[in-house]
Amino acid sequence: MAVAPARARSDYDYLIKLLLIGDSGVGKSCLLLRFSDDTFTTSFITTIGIDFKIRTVELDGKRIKLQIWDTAGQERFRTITTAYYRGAMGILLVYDVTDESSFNNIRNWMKNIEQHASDSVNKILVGNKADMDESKRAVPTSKGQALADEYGIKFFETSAKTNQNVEQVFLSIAKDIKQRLTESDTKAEPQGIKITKQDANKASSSSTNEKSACCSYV
Amino acid sequence: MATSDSRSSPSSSDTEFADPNPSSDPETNSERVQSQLESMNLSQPSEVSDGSHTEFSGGGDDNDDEVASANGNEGGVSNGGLLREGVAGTSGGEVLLRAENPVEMEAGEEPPSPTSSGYDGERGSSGGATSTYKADDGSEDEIREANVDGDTASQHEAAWLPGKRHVDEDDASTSWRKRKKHFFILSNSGKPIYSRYGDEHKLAGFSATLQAIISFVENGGDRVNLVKAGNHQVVFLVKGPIYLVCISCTDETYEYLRGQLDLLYGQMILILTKSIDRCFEKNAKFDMTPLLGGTDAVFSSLVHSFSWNPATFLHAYTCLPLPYALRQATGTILQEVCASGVLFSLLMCRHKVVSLAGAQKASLHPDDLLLLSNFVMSSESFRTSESFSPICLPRYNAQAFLHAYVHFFDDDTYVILLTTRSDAFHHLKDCRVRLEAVLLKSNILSVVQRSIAEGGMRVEDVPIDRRRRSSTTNQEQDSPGPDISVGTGGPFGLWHFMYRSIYLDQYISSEFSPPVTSHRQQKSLYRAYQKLYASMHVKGLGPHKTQYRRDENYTLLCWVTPDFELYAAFDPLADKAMAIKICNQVCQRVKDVENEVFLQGASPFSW
Repeated sequence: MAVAPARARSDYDYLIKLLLIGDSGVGKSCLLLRFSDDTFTTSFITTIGIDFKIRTVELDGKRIKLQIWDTAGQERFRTITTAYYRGAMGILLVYDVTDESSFNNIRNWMKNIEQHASDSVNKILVGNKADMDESKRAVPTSKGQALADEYGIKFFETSAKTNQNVEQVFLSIAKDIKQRLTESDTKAEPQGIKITKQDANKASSSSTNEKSACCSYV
Repeated sequence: MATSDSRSSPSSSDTEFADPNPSSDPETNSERVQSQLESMNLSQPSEVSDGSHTEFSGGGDDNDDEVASANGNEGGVSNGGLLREGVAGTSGGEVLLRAENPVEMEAGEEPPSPTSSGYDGERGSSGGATSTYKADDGSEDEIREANVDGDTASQHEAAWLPGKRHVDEDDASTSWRKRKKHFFILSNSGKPIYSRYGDEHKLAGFSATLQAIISFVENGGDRVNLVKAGNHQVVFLVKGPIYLVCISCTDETYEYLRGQLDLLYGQMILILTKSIDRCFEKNAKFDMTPLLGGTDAVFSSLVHSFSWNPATFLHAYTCLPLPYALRQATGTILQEVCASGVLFSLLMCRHKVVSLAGAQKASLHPDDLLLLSNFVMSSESFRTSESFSPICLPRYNAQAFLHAYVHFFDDDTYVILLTTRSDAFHHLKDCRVRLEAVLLKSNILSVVQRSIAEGGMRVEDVPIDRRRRSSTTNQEQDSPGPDISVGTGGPFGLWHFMYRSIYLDQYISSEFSPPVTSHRQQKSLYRAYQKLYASMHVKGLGPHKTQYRRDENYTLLCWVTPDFELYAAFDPLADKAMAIKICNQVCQRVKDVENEVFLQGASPFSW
């Protein structure tokens, strides 16, 4: 794989951290693979723990470095994956339009976010595998839209396989986050403030993890 | 007798077996027991009912009985007295057991043979005793799985198919019963956790039967280790609330089959830690299968490696051949990584070690390394991005997770950095970036690629110079001996060898070349080595120094010293004196290249 660019300020204007969550098998890793490497694999890849990828995009003349965490959906990884919620600026909640239980579990994933993520985190709802034949569809588009409306977040149906709406999802949430950061960017030395905030988040993440570790396999 | 460290009363976990002598509705109970016993492939009722049995709990004699005899006294039941009592107590037991014979005949791969096989003189004999055993005939499934004409290890490694196959089978399927080797993991309440073949949920009844057998024996204050039924061995392993069972007719030794169950258990601990036991303490009926979601490929890969990876019975690891200076340079940077708070750092190429380092006094057991590389190599996810995952090293600390950073530099070469800190991803990423810069600058990655393509030592590399001074005294003078090209392969019919360094916990295995080219031949040879290994390491006997065996397939020579073990296979017509001489030359050759084929300074005493 390509060597990730060295972490230097001059490479980007904004660093945005995104997190992908959702049931196992809904296609989180395929979405990320399509977005970062523009490839797709039909073999079933089970994410182990946390996967990490970087891609830099340009938005409104600004270079945005997207740092994307892909999480394992399996139950045994909850402790480690929730440790990364705190540091995320945006979270993509992914379900599979052919699997109604993955859609129903979005509410549980949303509770996880409320419990572990920062209050200001941006969220977006993603219904993947939209290329599938209508006879296999289990979640109508309207139901997905209704749930997104209920939570007041944006909604996209995607297909990592056919590259439908993948770029749009990531750029949409990145744009919203950038706008939020810009609006809060009213003081001098904003980067310094962000660094401090991130350090605090990291410490909180560590504390959260330590507490969670005691509750493994509850 | 072995003491039980886990007691479970059947009445608390399975009411069906609450009363081994049910007085109500005997016909219904008989039918249920019959159905379950059929699934077990247990037969030879007279063997059980007339009390004939041989104790195998101590291992040692791996004399397998290949004859399926309806009324013979062959085979045996470990701790059979208690088991016999339980079975005999069932109403109509005699009739039920007798009815099993047709099933056994149907399930057998081969018709019964009037001749029996034995291994006379296998216990450390250095004489010319001969023994006979059949090479394993691959089952239909194994033929599909194997790359039959593969001539390199990577080819039959690649023959492994990810994930679980035959999920449509269950214990009522004829094809399921014909499998040559089954593995099961279940809980002490009889819940299925893993099965090599078939959907675990469809095997719930069968798992309950296995659990009942184990628990019944434990209730008597004993433990069941091995049941022999015709040409099948049923091996049991109890690990707290986890039960592991192997049912095999592959002619492998009891010791190795039990070792395989140990590795399966270790693989499970690597994924979950031993803290999983607490879940069963809190809730005896805990369902563990969701915790193992997405790991079918890991277990399937491990089971497959039992047929091609000698690390699974040597309990040692192997290194990729590499120039000494490059390995040293790699080791230095890995050691620096460990000095920065990393517990272990490893650079691997497939299942071979390029270099590894441990923090102060930290030691990595070869079995942990085997399970770790199996986990990484069988998980496609690690190849597509940088990964950070909780894993446990069972031999290092079975109770706690470490965290593993994994990154592939190319298709085969990857780094694993292990730490106790769950928040260390970015630090490990920085370590990897630094390591990668050194590797690229030194051109190590391309040397590694060339080495994996070329393979390791070959029997053809062993020099033929008869006048070469051997490292040990050879009483016999050189003389014009048999023709130098007996068969093909190396000198004087040398087909293959394995050399294990006891001090380093490492081994080398020569690359396969004609005539040992097919996957089936290679598997057969590894099984022959397993028997050698088992007979040379019998507890309570020995230590033995040398063993020489000749049969229709090979001449095998094994040499065990405090420093190393050598296993060599020759043409079955090879001359014994020349075979011994060649073995000396193999040892000398290994010594000549030890700086390239072994990782020096990585022993537990390294600082």
